Amino acid sequence: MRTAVFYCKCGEMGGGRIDLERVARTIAALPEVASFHALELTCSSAGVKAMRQLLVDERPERVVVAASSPRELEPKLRRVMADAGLNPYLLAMTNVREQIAWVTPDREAATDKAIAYVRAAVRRAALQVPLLPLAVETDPRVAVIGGGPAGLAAALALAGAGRDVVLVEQGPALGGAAVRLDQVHPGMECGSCLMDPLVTGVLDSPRIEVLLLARLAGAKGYLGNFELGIARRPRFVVAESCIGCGDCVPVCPAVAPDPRLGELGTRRAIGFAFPGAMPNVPVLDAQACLRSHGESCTLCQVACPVPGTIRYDDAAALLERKVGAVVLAVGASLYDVGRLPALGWGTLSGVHTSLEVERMLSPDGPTAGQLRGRLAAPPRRIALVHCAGAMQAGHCDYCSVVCCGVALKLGLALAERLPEATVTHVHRELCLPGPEDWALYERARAHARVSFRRYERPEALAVSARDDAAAELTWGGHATERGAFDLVVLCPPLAPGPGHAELARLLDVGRDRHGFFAPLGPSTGHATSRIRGVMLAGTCQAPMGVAASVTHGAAAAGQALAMAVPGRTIEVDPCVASVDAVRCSGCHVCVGVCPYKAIAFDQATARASVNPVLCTGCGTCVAACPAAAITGAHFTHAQLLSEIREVLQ
Amino acid sequence: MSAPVEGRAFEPRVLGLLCTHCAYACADNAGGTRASVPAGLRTIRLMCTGRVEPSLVLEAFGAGADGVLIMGCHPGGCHYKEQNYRAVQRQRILLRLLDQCGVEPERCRFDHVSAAESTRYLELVDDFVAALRRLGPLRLERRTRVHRPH
Repeated sequence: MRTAVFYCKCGEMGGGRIDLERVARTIAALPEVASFHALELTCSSAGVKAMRQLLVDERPERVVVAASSPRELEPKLRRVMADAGLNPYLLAMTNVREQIAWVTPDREAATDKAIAYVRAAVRRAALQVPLLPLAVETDPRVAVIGGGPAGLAAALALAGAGRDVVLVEQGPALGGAAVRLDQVHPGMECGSCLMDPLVTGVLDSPRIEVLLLARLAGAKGYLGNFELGIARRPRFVVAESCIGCGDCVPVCPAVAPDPRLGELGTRRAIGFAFPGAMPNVPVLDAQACLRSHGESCTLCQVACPVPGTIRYDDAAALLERKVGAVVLAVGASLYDVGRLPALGWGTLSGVHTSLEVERMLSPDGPTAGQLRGRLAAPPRRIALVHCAGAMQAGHCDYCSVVCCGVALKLGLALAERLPEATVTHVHRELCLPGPEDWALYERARAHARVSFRRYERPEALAVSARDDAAAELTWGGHATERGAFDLVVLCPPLAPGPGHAELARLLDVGRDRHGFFAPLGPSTGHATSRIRGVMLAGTCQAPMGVAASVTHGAAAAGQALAMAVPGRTIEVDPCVASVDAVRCSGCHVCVGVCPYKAIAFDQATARASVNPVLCTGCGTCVAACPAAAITGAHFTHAQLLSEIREVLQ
Repeated sequence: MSAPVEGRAFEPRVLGLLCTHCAYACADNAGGTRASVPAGLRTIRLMCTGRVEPSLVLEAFGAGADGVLIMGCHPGGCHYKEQNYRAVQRQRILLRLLDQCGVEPERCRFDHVSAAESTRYLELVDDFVAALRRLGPLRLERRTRVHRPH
């Protein structure tokens, strides 16, 4: 095996202590070694040029480079190999700088170790084989799951780049939770003013197919080639012909409390999701409709001025879409304060959640902006309890970043709306990220009727009934304090939604210990999941505000654009696992250990096989296979054993 | 096997099986600090500690290692989701196997380091080498136990 060895002097320049002459003498004498070149700086452009020329001139069968860390240099040198007409995977690198020259004070020992490492690389190189990167065709279409701020921003960015997008939203309207907010902190824009341009942009885009009342029901495939199953519930109203007049709504006799709003409002079986919901098309709730209770009511159909628009025979459908990438933007839920029974939500009339108060304050809300809900009279003493369920083991063991801003916003809105009222923030830590949140806090502090009391122990927090007030709130700061309040507003953190677990299972994306979708890295790659081709956007990845969600959506779109490019094939690293069908005993062990679902099991042949596109080359299945039927390319058993033997010399 | 040389302290030969993302990167960073690393430590770069199978460790002991140090990412920090957990599971079984082969289980360690923990890496290496010094050189032929059925 004619091997060319390149030895970089960079280690010596950094104060290393390797006897280059002895290394050169020993290595050049190895039977495999045809040439030994000491280069000044392999990584410099001059070094790369010199190496390339020597490779062209000598046409070695294997190449060894002893230099700095392969983590940095190997990709570059593989390109030099390819440039010189050699297969990049016939290169073996060893790090004689950080791992030897710079850390071994004894010259003799350092030289012995360097010789062992270079010889190991020479022997390893002899066992390496040419590998060819796999090229995979990619579908340029992208699916966005979730029609809130993050999903809308992602869909618009993708469509803007000329991609066809399928947007899957489980509700009947777009805009997420943000579109229904009266004010979005810290800028205090109205939610629909903020979101409507995104919503109409998406609805108007010829490139975006919007599937409402739809959820992801199945997924298979991999980056560039996903096949999605999308389950769509019937709307019973044909969106294409509906003119949004709303004539069907008041005639509906099926009036019931709106379960989405507690006892705050009622709804009819047919109606708009909320005032101003887009698309401007009502939806019929089949469970609430009298027709599903044995009656033959057709009042809405009769009232509708466009015949054929209300269709009682509309049925659920399972749609299939092929895409190259998926953006998960399903949002989060507010933590269910019903799981904190000591706080009295649902049992005491004076206790509401921040979202309920937000909805009451909204002029378009169920109480038309009146702060009544379960209250008898406008409240005069109001408490806002921060961190209801946050930073608490057994509930949400984290700070959800946005809720202090929400509480401050609500406190100011309540103080301004009710000139007689006092507002007390009962808070734990105050989370005020960014200059605008701080300004909001300053405004609250400057307000004559807004005050702040700190509590320390969430377990000591309690709300109880009281004769002269709606509720008595107890909290433990330096000492236990109590206060009588007409309205106690619980501000819970954002928590993973109920559909997170199922989506994680379908797409095999990991979840963090709180249940949010896990990003690629703890601090980098937050818009990317650990599954190639599946992007993460918005609060389904971590709690964040509307502005951050929109930015996150655009970031996820950017990742999707970079991963699945039209007309370009995806080059897949060939350092992947493969199964020798003859040796495979069909034991299934590898299928279970693969974290990327890269291993399929063929029932007919009872053999496992690896999808090289999904395989990331971690080698766990290689190590796990009891029949040694799996080979990890470039990290084969023979290569590693040889390297182990040689470095230990 | 590195036998003690007259008048010179025993320098254990150690195989380090390092994952490229955390442990090998950490060793690189330790090199950047120009700290002193025992010359007897010999490192191999793997993509993930999940690739470590028992035969690699056994081969190392057979080829002269007095100890094997497997290092991967911290729990939760694995770049392949959770394969470092698989590596830990596998290593626990391996320790029992080593004991049966007559190799003290203390000679094979698994530890977690992040790329940023070069000081911790150096401490772990020094601590392991010190432990191996106390154990002395591995003498396989003398320690092999034969289990006979009764």
